[in-house]
Amino acid sequence: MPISAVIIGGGRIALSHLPQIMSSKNMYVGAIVEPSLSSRILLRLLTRCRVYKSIDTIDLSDFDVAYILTPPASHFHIAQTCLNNGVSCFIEKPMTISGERTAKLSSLAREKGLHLQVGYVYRYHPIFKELMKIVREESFGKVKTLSVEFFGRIEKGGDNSWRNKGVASGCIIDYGSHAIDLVCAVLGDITLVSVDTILKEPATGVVDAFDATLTSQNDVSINVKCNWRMRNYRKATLKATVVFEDGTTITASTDNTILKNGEKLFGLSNLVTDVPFYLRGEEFANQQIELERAVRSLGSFDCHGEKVFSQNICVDTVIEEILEHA
Amino acid sequence: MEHYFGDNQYQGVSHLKGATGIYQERFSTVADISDHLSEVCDLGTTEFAFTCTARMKDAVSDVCKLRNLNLHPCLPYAHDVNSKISSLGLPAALRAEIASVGARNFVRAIVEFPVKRYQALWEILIVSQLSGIEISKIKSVGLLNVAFDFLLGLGRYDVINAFHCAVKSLTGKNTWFYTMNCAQAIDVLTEAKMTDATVVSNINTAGFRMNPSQGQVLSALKKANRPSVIAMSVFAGEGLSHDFQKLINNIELQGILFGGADLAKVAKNIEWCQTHSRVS
Repeated sequence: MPISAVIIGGGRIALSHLPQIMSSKNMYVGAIVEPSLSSRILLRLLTRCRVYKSIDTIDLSDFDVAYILTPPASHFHIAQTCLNNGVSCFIEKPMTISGERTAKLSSLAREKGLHLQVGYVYRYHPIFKELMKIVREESFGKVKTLSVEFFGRIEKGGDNSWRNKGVASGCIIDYGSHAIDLVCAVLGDITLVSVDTILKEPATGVVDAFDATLTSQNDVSINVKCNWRMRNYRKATLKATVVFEDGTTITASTDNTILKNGEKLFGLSNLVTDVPFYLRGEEFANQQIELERAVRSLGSFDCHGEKVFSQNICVDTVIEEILEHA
Repeated sequence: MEHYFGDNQYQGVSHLKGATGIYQERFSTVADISDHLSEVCDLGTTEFAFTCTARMKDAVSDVCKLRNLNLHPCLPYAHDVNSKISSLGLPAALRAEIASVGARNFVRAIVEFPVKRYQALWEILIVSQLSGIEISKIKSVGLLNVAFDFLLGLGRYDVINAFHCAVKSLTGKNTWFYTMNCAQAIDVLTEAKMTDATVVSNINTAGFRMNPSQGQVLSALKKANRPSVIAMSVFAGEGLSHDFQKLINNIELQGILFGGADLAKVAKNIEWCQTHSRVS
């Protein structure tokens, strides 16, 4: 029996998820919910799925999982409604824009025995999975410092999206959430020490860049830098550099390489990257595979899930604290 | 074995080597691209596959003034598509595209839609994207993986077929479908009787992005009456080598698509293709 899914939010990211979901023999998209009429028409033409204006017009209990692909400020209420109707949730990042609300959702999911997953896709990127393995196995000793950079170039002209307006605007949420989640994925729970730089666009006050210092539970010093106005970046690039006690430096990047002390240790082609269906990257496929696995094994205790619940709360708490400085 | 030269280095794309920044700096102007491409032609290349961007079309136009080059344009440019949809949303991005093809052309496509369906829409898009390219030099029109794999995932094989029909009706030339899902693409195109199309997909000794697995892709390649296949990303693993030759043993390939900034390496790869046949 396929997993029945409702897609809530038919914007840009839905176009990345829909082919990944619909190509899976394990999934069935029963409905797409999207408030914009023109988007609904286009989505109906493209996907041939049933489209609805709001979640009030569907029976959520018909579905096993909801993909919540709406702007971040709406995540909490939609996810709470879904969980209360017995529907597991995949939520695009960040889970919410408040550590407290993320904790509430995690608690609700745990109470209902449901799966809750956030679209922190870089956790599933083969290069970063390899980095996590190197750290976990202490292949080069213990970690001394970690720095994560997420740089890219967002086209601002004519952009009326939530990225540039409203409570969830700016690169702290859009880029920062990915960077901070990667830190958690590598080192576990973290706390914010200081926000060192915040750069805003003068006309709108939207945060274009920030630089923060954090620390892990075992006192590893962490630096996170994000900037979405880097002219020489054709696409967003996430890079993590780890310094180990024995002096080795490992850098892993969405350029698909891992360098050791500046020399190539291996690249993506050295790893097994087979996926059932590829659209934007192996990480999207791996993320979908994890969701299907987790939804199918509901009811069995998942210690990995518990760890991730804690990290989701941590990410949103840190994001909230950085936003307070903005 | 036929070789086709590609444009990843000119677009600043480097899936294997992490050389994005280096390429962007080296090929920052149209003249940088046309100079390099001219030298590649002088090494013996006669086939060039490229994404339809203004920059690439200008460079190709320059090179074609003095050199004989068969062209394999492909669309759409993924970066543009992602950027437009991200910043404008899907409906507004489509409106922007309609504006670029011209409202009159779009109305004509809508009028023809009941009969021609998506072929009508593809035709206006293809005409718009190919404008500025000398038609007589075009040997194929390609649909890049950003669009092909998107439609494949959604199960919209009818829209894929409509692209194929649009290319045939407009140009009479071959259709290339770029994909990261080689096995599925071969099955779908064979089932839909598009066996006169060409699949362009990763084939290499490392199994890099040969989805769903190297084994399944090789099995699909051995099927009878399938579309032609061009191998790309051949340098993952052992590159063009004895091992690659062994990998494609008993498999007929239309050719190999590769790019490169280093002319010495490009020359070596051209030589390999010239000394190896399309069927092992």
